Amino acid sequence: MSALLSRLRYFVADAADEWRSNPGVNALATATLASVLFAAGLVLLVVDNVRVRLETWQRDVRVEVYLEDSATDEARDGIRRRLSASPGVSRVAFVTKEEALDRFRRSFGSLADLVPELGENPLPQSFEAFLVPGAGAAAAARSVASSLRGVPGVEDVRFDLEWLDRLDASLRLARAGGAAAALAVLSVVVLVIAGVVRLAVHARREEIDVMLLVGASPALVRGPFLVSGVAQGLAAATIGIVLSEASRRLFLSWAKAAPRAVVDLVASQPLSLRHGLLLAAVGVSVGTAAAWVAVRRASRLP
Amino acid sequence: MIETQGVAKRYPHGVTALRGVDIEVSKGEFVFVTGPSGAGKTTLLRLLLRQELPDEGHIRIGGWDVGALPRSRVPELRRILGVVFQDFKLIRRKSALENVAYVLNVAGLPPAEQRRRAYEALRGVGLQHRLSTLPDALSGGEQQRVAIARALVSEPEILLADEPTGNLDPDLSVEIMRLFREINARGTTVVVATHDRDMIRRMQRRAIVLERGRVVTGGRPS
Ligand SMILES: Nc1ncnc2c1ncn2[C@@H]1O[C@H](COP(=O)(O)OP(=O)(O)OP(=O)(O)O)[C@@H](O)[C@H]1O
Ligand SMILES: [Mg+2]
Repeated sequence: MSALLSRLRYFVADAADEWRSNPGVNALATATLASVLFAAGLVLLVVDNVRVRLETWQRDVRVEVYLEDSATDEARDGIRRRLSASPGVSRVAFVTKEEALDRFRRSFGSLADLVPELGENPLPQSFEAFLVPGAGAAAAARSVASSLRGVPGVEDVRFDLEWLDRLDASLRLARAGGAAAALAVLSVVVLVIAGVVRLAVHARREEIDVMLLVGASPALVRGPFLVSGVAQGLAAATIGIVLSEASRRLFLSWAKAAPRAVVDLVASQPLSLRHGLLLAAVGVSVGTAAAWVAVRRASRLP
Repeated sequence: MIETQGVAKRYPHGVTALRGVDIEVSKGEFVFVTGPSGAGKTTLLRLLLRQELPDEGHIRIGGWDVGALPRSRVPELRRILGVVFQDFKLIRRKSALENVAYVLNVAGLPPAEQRRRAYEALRGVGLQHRLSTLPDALSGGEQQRVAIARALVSEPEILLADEPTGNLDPDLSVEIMRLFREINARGTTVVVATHDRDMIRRMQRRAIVLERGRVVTGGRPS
C-alpha cells in the first residue's frame, strides 16, 4: 500500500517536473484542448438555453375552456371533473371574470384605459387545462377540446395548435442541432489532438528510451505521462468552462440594448451541470487517451 | 555468467557488425572488450542489453536466453545490469542526483534511500558538488561520471561499460578503474569496452579482441 502510494507520488512529482521542463509543448497541448472545449462550451451553452426556454414555453401550453355566464355550479363542477380526468392534462385552474379582466389590463397596458368605458365586464369565466409537456401535448389538446365542445355550460374551447406544432418541431430541431454540433466538435478534437500527440511523443522519445534501458517497466514510464494527461484534460476543461461563462456574461452586458427575448433565448442561464460535467469528462478522457497513445508506442520494448 | 554462441548482427544497408561471435565470461570476472573503431564493441553490448536482437546465434546471461526472453521480462534482465553508455544517455530534464536515483526508483526503493545512495555514488565519482546540476550544464567528463555513478549505484550483478573513460583525464581514469575493481571485488562481473591499450595493460585482465565483427582472440577464459 505504501509502496503504491509512493509510486503515485512519484508519478505526480515527475509529471510536474516534466511540465516545468517542457512548458511549451505542455502549454500548447492544454491550450489546444482548452480552446476546443471552449467552443464546445459555447455550443452547449446555447443548446442549454434554448432547451430551457422551450421547456418553459411548453409548460405553458394549455387548453382554455370558456364558460357561459349562465353556467350552473353543477355544470362547472362537471366540466372541471371531466378536464382533470382527461389523459395528458397535468393541472386544471379556474379563472374568474375578475381575474380575466385583471390579466387583460396587465397585458394591454395602454388599452386598459378603455376598460372603464366598457361598463359591465365582458370577459367570460374559464378553465385552463395545462398539458403534460412533451411530444404528446398536441394530441392531448385535440382530444380534450373535442370531448368538451357542446357540453352544457361551455361557450367555446380554444388552444393554439399551430404554436404547439411549432414548439414540437423546434424542440426536435434543437436536439438534432445539439447532437450535430457535438459530433462536429468531437471530430475536431480528435484531429487536433492527434497532431499535438505527435509533437509530445517527439519531445519525450529520447528520455523514454533511456528509462527503459536502465530497467524501467513500461508501466513506470507511462505513469507520469498518464497523470499529466489527466491533469491537462482537467485544466483544459476548467479553462473552457470558465471562458464560456465569461463570454456569456460579457455578451449579457454588451447586448443590453438588444431585444430581451433574443438575449434570453441564448444566454440567460449558465451552462447546465450535466453539460459542465460532460465537458470535464471529455477533457479528461481526451487528455488521458492522447497521453496513452503517445507513450504506448514509444514505450514498447523490442 | 555471459555466453554467446555464433552470434551475428547485420544492420540495414548491408553492414555486418558482428559474425560468428562466441564469447564466455565467468561470474565475478573482469574482462575488456577491445578492437579498432567500428569493430562491433558497442553492438555486442547492445545485444547483451537486449537493445537489439541478434540475427543469428544465442546469448545467455545468468539463467536467461536473452534472445528468447519475452518482452515483459526485459526490464528484469536490464535491472541486473549496470550500463555505462558510450553516449551517456542521461535524462536531460533530471539533475545528476535524480538521474542516478532513477535506477533505484526503478528497483522500488523508498525515496529517502534513493537519494542517500545516489549521493554516495556521486561522491564516489567526485561529483558531490554537482548534485542538482542538469546534464546539459555538465562537462563531457562530468556527464560520463554521472553515467558511471548510475551504473554502479544499484550494485548490479553485471556491469557493462562502453568507453567509460573516453572523456576523462588520466588521473580520473585511474580513479574510475579503481571503483570498477572495488565493485568487482564485491562480486559484480565487469565487462569494459575500450580501445585504451595502456589501461588494459595496466589492469592485467583478459581482453576479448574484436576485429571487423569477429573475435580474434580472448573469447573464452584461459
Ligand atoms: N544503428 C546502426 N545502423 C547501421 N549501422 C550501424 C549501426 N550501429 C553501428 N553500425 C555499424 O556497425 C559497425 C560496428 O559498430 P559499433 O558501434 O559496434 O563499433 P564499435 O566497436 O563500438 O566502435 P567505436 O570504437 O567507434 O565505438 C560499424 O561499422 C557501424 O558503422
Ligand atoms: Mg562503440
